[in-house]
Amino acid sequence: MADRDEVQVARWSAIRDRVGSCLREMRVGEMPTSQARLSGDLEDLGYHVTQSMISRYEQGLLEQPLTLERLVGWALCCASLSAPAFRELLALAGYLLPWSVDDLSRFDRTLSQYRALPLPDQIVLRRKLLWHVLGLESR
Amino acid sequence: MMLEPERAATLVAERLVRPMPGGVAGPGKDWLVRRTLEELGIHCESEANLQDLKGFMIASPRGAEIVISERLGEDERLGVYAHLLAHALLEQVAGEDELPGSFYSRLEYVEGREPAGRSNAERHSEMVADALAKAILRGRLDGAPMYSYRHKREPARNRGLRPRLGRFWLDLCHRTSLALFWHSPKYQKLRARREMSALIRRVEGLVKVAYAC
Repeated sequence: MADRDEVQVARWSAIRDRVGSCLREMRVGEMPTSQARLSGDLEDLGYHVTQSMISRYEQGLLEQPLTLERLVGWALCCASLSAPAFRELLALAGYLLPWSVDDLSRFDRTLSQYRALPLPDQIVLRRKLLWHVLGLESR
Repeated sequence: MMLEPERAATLVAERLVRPMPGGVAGPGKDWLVRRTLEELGIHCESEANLQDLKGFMIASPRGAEIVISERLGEDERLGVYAHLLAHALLEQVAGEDELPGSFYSRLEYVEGREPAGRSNAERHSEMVADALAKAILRGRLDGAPMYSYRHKREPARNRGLRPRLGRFWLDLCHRTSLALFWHSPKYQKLRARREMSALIRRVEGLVKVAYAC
């Protein structure tokens, strides 16, 4: 295994329990999203994450690190996502969301509008949101 | 933030009043607006899968983009571009910072598909954005109060009490005009008239000369 991969795996091992439980909380929060729905939505974003993988990630059992793209995609597919929870999740995973309080409230407003849209609109908007949010700074 | 709504709105308005390249047979005005926005770094694309949305804008440090439903006709596309710019302008003017922060988004809904239970402030903002969008489409941003689309104030040219008084007076007039624009559809119509724009320019010019400001 390359040194870089080893570092990544070690880093993931250290945080996977906390990230997993945070992802689970996000999925089963106020407006629960089923594993099947989440898996399908992630597929729409181009990420192959099966229901069984979702379950194992949530329990912190999967050794394969969850990439930033999948992490953000996962969060965006959860109906309970809120800006503070999103920021917390990214901080756990070692990423900084460089947004002000106003930005966070604008993001929250966007999320609530986005959740009220029909699925086709949600998919289009989610892809674009993902692209913008991925412009994050690594800590 | 990769979004400069004031610059975009001004340039779009300027270009919309010029004769179109290629005349009637040439590309439509929506093409011109899209090209202008692309020139300013706002990525524009069409999307076939939008149902309740006519389009939306997202801006972040990664860039700014507008996505518009493929189903819209030319006039509707123009309207959506103008509306998105108008809302971005209002957001910028309302903000304390120079630009509306690190994240901005705006959704434009198909008529009748808007979310229920909109607040009064949202409906108000929609009405003002509508008037501002019309000013952009008419190619006459001066048909709206200056403070509705200009974030930065002009720097003082002269010091002293008289110029300060003049600037104070002008600021008061612009603010009053903006307040009326926000609250009165009648004033919006009046303000959109060419004669009114000319009168305001004249008065402003006279004040600037009289107070050396």
